Amino acid sequence: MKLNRAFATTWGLLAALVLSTPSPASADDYTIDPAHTSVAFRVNHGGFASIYGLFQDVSGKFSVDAQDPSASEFDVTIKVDSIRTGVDKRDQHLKSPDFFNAAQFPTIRFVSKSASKEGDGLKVEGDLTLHGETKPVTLVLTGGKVGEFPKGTARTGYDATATIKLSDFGMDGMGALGDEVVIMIGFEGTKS
Amino acid sequence: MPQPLLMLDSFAAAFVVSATAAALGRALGRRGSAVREALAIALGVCAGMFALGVVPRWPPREDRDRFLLLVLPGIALLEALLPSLGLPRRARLAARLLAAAAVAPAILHGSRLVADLAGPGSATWPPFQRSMILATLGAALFAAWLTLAWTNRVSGSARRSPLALAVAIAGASACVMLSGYATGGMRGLPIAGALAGAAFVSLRPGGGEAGTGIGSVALLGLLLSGWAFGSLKLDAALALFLAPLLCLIPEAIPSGRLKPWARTALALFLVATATAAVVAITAHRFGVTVAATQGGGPSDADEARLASRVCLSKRLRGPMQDAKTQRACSRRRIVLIPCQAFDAQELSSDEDS
Repeated sequence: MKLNRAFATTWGLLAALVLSTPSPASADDYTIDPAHTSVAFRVNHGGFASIYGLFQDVSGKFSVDAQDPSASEFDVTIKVDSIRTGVDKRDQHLKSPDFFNAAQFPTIRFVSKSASKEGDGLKVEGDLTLHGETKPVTLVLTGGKVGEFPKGTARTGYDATATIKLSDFGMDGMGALGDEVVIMIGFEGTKS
Repeated sequence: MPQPLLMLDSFAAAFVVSATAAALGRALGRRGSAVREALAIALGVCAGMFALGVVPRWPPREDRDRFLLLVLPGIALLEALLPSLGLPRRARLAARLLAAAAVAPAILHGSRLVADLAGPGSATWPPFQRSMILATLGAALFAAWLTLAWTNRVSGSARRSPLALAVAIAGASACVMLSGYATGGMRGLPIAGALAGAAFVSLRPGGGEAGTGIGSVALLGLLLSGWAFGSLKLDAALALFLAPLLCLIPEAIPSGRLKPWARTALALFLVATATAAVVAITAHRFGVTVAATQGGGPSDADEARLASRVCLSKRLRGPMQDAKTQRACSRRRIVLIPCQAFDAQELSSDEDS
């Protein structure tokens, strides 16, 4: 009887230990907060100087796995119609088939394919679909602070910079712009 | 940015190649003239596009690629083969009707006007409206095509309709470029050059059928691209589409009063005048927008300030509400408003400046 009681106690303690051990952290899912997200770009104009612009409509979702960064995923969509460079006529021209062709390709989308730890942030490789062409693009995300803002709303955010070539996406029809475009991204997500 | 010299080169290359090919074809005899005419235009367009540095992309995902790789070759092939197949007239008409109906869907394919790019039901035109618009566009093209072909026949001039279309296409090209779609608009110039080149050496009465068909389709395609993908105004597009039909007007003049060449010259003058007017209006609109964008145009505040200066002048130098002042103000878009609208402080600060 004593042996049985000791056996049961041992198994009970083991079970309690196992149940009390924290399970491995699963990925946290976030929805992009458009109010705290910016996608800016810089492109040279005719060799003279850079023009800066913004995309004002950015949406998407991402998940970040702190324990297993390779399980992190990103899916971001930008509406081409939301492009703003501060000059209405230029914005209209940028939306035409001379550049983005917003009537045919209304969105720009980045979908991650793999992620890995890079310093304090993440290195994310994925496909960028722009102007109907899909090309691989690598983003190095820095930041990743997790906190609450406002209180009760869990969020995280990252910054990234990438350089793409317009010619890779079939957007080299007009000679006025340089081929390289620097894209600066800052995005935050609130926990879903 | 559009380079005028390059565009002129492309027009000239298309004209020369097309005219040379048409002249060589004419030397071969009358048999298969439609094939030779279509081939001459096609060669001219290719030469012009080459001079322009245009290389369409395959698969043709954009309107301009579909226009060059599907629409134009399709219509050139149709116009080349139809007369030599020996089909009855009704069958030829049916083939042209089908071709006319296919142009707008080919140009607009995959665009947000007709496709649900942002989820189900997101197309700008709902299915019924889409069908009606596309059918109307097809019917309008077919009607214009037939009218111009008929004009060619009754006028006895093989040049009239193709040249009228070349003029309208050149104008449409300029208007589309001025409407924020430079790469699309400039592709019209080689087409205009090729049509003009082939028509220039075409002497056979009642000929020019291939040029009329290719030109009608090219004009609609160009204008539709400019309207749907650029910001070409509907009124300008409509006026340019109808402009070639003015070449029919001289046929209303009783025969005998004008010689055939004079009728054709009058027809082309009418088309050119209408086209030039539309180009001028589009250029003016472009200029106004650019001036406003660059801060060169008068904003409301500028106008009020200028108006205050006129009022100030009036106060200092006596009555200025004469016709000369009013004309000057009208030219500069200055609104004359009573001096009482400005308080003494504003007037004094304006005077100081």
